[in-house]
Amino acid sequence: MLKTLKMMFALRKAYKSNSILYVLRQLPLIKNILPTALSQSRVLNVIVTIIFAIWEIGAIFIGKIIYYFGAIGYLRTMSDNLSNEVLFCQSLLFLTAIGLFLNVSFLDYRKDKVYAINIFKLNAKEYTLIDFGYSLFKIIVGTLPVAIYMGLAWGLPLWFLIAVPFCVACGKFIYASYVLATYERTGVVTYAGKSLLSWFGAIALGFAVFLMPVFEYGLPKEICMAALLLLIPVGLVCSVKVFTYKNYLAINKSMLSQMDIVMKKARKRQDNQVSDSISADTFETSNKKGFEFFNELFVKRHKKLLWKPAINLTIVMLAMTVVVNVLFTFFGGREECARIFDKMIPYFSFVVFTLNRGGAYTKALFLNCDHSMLTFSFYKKRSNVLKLFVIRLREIVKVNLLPAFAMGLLLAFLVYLPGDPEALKKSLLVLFVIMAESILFSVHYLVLYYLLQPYNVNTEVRSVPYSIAFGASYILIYILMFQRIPLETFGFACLGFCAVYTVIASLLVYRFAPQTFKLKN
Amino acid sequence: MRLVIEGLTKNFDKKEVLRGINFSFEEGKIYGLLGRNGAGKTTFFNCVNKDMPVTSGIISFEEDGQKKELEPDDIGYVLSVPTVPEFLTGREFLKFFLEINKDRIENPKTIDEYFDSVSILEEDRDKLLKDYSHGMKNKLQMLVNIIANPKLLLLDEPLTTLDVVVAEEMKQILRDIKPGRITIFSTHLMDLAVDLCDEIVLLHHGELEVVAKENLDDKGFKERIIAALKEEQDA
Repeated sequence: MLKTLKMMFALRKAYKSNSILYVLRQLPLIKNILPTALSQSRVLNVIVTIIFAIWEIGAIFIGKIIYYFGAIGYLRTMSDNLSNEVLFCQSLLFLTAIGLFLNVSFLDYRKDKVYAINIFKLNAKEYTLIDFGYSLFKIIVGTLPVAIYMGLAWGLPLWFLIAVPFCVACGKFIYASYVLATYERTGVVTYAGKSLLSWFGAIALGFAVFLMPVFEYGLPKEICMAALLLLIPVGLVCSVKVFTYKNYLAINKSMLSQMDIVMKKARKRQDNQVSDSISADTFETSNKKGFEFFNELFVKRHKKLLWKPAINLTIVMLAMTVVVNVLFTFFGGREECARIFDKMIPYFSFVVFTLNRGGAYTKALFLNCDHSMLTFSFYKKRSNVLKLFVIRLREIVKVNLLPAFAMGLLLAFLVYLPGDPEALKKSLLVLFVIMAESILFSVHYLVLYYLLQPYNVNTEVRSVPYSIAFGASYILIYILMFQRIPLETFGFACLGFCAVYTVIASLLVYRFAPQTFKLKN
Repeated sequence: MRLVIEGLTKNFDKKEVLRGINFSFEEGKIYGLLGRNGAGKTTFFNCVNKDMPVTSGIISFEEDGQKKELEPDDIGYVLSVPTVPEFLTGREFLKFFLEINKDRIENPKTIDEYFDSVSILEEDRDKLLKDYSHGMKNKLQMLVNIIANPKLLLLDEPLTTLDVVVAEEMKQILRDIKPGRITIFSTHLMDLAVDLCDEIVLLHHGELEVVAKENLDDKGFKERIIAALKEEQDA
């Protein structure tokens, strides 16, 4: 038992440490100061072990702090009349139930489990129970101080708050015994979050826990407390099944092979999506020459992926513009609507970013074109790389500009509703801003693709700098969404930024793309 | 014309894969590059093709006593897994290739003449490349790599996965085009190397070394190659 526990920690540490080292090895500047044989460096290993320990301990508490203060604390703001005790007990009951559907660390898939069971041949029963036990230990240790701190402040009795982590932990045994029972009956491992039904159940409970305080509806706190406390005896009864079950090796193997098939299918579906997007219609041709010919055929043969969604989106936006105008003609409220949208334009930056076809375009470019063409010397010549970049940039800007124009028009109408000259100026500004953002994001996608070429020869995204750059832009735009900035301020700042970014990005591509745009091993 | 390699070194971290290679390849010959798995054959090709920066060393052409750097146009690189743009038809791909490279193609032929030269049938020429068989893709890849008449042709195990008929056709193409260029052909198939290549070069200990055939027959020659490769393992 102790040996298995040690091995489990060693494996988890090795797996997480290697992930940390892999990321460090990819980071510009940092990779230059790292020793070459990373895993053999004692100092680095100590640092990584410390990071791993902080991560493990931090995850125990941070998750619970977010859970209690974020989720339950947020629900407090939804209601003026429900008492703290009622809100706490009710929210905890529903959230615990959601956790039983989606978050039980029992026979769920993790890479280190594959290594432990399939490669190191650890005792499957011991490993599963220790792994599950460790997850319950983390729940108890993490929940106890947070629940006591918050619960006491909200007026709940201490004995109940001490019982809360044990209720949650015992509840997990109920789901674990369900997994074992269904496996015996069907041969399928229904780990938490596997079935669609559990997702529907969780979503329904999620709506309930959110809407009840909105409508000031509270369940009696005694019922909630009793239901939570009931999890302890029921869980203990179910734990008998979990501890006495014998066939853990078979169920683990089934779960791993089940997941293997699911992941292979998902990967194949993803690959085929792009590969199948090539139109088989060879009558579509081009009268152009050279790279223009090459590009035109690419775009025509990828209509399904590029122009079709763009046109559909444009139609939807234009239809919404008409509907909105008709509605306001009949129901009034033009000034109020314009006033709301006046400060909401930053929100639509995120929408423009999300709807941009740049991601789909660059993925198709690599999988269906550059993955093969970059093996030809002529294609990698500086002049050819830059020539094709310009053509592609023009193309993706065109594809994105059409729906962006339609969205700009819709928003411009919403801002223009009062109809005075000031509103007209503002609405024109909105139109330009949305179109400029569309150009900016098109440039951004293509520039990142050319400068940080994210794919390896096996068409997997393996570039940490690309992931960081893309993640950072996503977070920035997400944060921007919540800013309420007056239209003129945001509009002119945005137009200026778009112009400056486009110029700088183009210069970077001109300078570096011939070196960076290549196949990576 | 010679391809001259001087002090070519390639390290991955502290591992020295290519150790100061000094070698020269002569025009008009097919060189069979042999080495055990992981010896660095693909790394060597990637360095020559500039897909990978070298740690140190110079790779150049020497013509009439003058050295000059390798340009992308000088090199053709054929991979074992054929890579062609699947959204184009065979004809469109050739048209595009001929237009882009028109300045460097001497005595261009028609597209159909090129197809004929590698026995790609008429009914296949206007099909999308995604519907081509592995062998047809391979022939097309080879074709575009030789149309532009590169001075140096690198072939990384190009015949390994082909059926016998296509493999024979490809071998004949390589023999036909070898005058006027340097062809370096990496393979694990000893019979193929001995049959097709004019010189056998071993990549071992990160260095290149010619295995001299001298007066040996094919059997004796193969035994000498095996012995040299085993020596690497023993070292």
